[in-house]
Amino acid sequence: MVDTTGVIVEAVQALLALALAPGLIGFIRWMKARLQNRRGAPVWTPYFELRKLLRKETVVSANASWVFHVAPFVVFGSTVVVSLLVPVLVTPLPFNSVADLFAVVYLLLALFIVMLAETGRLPVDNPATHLELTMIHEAMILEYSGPYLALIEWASWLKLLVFLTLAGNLFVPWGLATSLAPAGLAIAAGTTLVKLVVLAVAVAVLETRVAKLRLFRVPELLAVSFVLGLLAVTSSFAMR
Amino acid sequence: MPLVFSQVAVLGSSGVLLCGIILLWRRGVPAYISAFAWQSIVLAALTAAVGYFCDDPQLYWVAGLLFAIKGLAIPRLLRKVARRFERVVEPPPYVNTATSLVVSGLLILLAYAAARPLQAIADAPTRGGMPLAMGLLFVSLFIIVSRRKAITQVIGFLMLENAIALLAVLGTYGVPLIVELGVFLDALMGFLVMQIFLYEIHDTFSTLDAGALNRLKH
Repeated sequence: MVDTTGVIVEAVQALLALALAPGLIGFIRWMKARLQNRRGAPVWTPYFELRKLLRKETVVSANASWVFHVAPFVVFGSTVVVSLLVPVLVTPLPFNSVADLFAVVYLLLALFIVMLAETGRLPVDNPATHLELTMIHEAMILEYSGPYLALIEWASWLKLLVFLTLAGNLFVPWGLATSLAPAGLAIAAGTTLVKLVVLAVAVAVLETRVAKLRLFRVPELLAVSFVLGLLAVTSSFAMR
Repeated sequence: MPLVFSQVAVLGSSGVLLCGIILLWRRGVPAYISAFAWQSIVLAALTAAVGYFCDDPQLYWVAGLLFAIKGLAIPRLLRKVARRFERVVEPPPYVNTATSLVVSGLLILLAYAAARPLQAIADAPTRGGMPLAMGLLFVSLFIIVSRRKAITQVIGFLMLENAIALLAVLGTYGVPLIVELGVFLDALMGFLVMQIFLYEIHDTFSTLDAGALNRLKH
């Protein structure tokens, strides 16, 4: 049975994620600036960036194939679909709040490392640079301009938001709504926001503290993540 | 209550094991030393927690000694030694970092398999941490055999010590204080002897590569 309110809530969830993503990135940038004793751009700067990019014209190389035109839409669309699937506010099943503390410790670390790598944050890639040697995310979008660039940037910000909510809601599922009651949803929205702020501060502090890794060391970092994931799976099986 | 106890025990042992894995990933002797110091501090905290949950005041003493000797004194001595050999470039380990991480993951899997019978007969709430302690045992042995610089091998040995102490705390809620004192003294003496060895190796070969000892053969 398809529940219409459920569908509406899902859609609202995705829209909320879309609307919040630039704010989140702006907050991380602002927080980093404050930590580095700079005044920092206002939190809502990314919204203006998006507006500016959406209004500009697109310049496409004469040699670009159709893939070049399709890619931004695929990237944006798939990220939005992912944000539909992640429990932002509502979860169908209540999580056990202290399920497996130890498995969770490993998993949280493993997921955090993967998140940093996947969204191109600092120990793996420097999000604030345009220097060839250090850019991974930047190298992929170098040729894009105008609305295409806006779509790709928005998608990458949304990806960060999705990862952070996933981490927050999987490991600290307090306040997550289990039904569609409006009061529960309001609480869920509030707690999710708080979790996002806490995680964003953690990311900002980490990015201020650590330097970018040499590219050759990145696979080793991911190996750490792999081993931690392996440990989490083994321990959860062994504890049965 | 037992549930909380077992969770704390497993959480603490995971922390101890995690410090061992971090040593595999980090580079440079100072990083190894701080990994070891943190491991000892977590171990001391876990020992104190076990003492609290089973109402054993002796364990507080053990925890205090652990913190003072392995958490503060030995890292300090190690740093002093490391500063002296600062200019000595560490030869790369026999096994590269990514491989050694995967190998340590497999070793911990092995430890889970090996600790199964142990877990089956033990009924202490701390038994969940036993495979992790055995895993640390394997991982620190692996550190000893895969690293070439003598000082790293010493740190691996000290981690092995920690793993045995962890196993003792989890398995029997700590051995009597007098035995523990003997073990501490042993570890400290062992460390001092190894320090002399370090100096000797360095004076003879002007390197800390333990592989150079093979050249002593005639």
